[in-house]
Amino acid sequence: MTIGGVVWMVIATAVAIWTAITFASPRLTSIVDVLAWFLRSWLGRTLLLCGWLAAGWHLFCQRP
Amino acid sequence: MLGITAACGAGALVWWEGDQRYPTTGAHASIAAVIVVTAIAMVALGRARQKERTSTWIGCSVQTLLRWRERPAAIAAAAVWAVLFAAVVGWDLNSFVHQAHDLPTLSRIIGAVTHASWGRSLVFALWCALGGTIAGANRRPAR
Repeated sequence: MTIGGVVWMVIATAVAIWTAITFASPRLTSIVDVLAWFLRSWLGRTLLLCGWLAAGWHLFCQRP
Repeated sequence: MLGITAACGAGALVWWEGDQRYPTTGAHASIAAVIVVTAIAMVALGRARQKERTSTWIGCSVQTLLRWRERPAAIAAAAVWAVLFAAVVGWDLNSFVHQAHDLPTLSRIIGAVTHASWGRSLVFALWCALGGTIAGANRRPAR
């Protein structure tokens, strides 16, 4: 595996572990809580939508 | 009956999208259509049903950060999410700038999955589900 692949694996593992920890403990902010916080207002929802559409266009319509 | 028809339509769209490729008109038109429909749905579903005004949202968020001692665990956990997000963005930018074979960008890794029809269908379905969540989730009940 390349050095870049190793770093991506480390980041993905950290995200997976932190997701599991935050879901196991109600006192900690989970990724669902972060999403819900963004969705409380028009500005947060619009920011998320902009990121979502940019990601979709990049992934599905441009050369990866 | 309407639900079954909608589910069949969504399934057909996901299956069809799997056979599209990035430079084609079909891929561009379908992704643009999903984006437009989701944006319209967000505005239509959110009319007078947003939980907070933007100014209130910003003010409450700042207050929560300033009073971090009241909920230290929750604030620290949110900070960890910010660090993880920064790590993803930072490493992706680093890989993009160097353009080296042994430093793949995140989109190149995902592109390896979406190269296959099943992979493109799967990622497209997840992307649509996230878009639907952004458009409709966490609303006030309709009056």
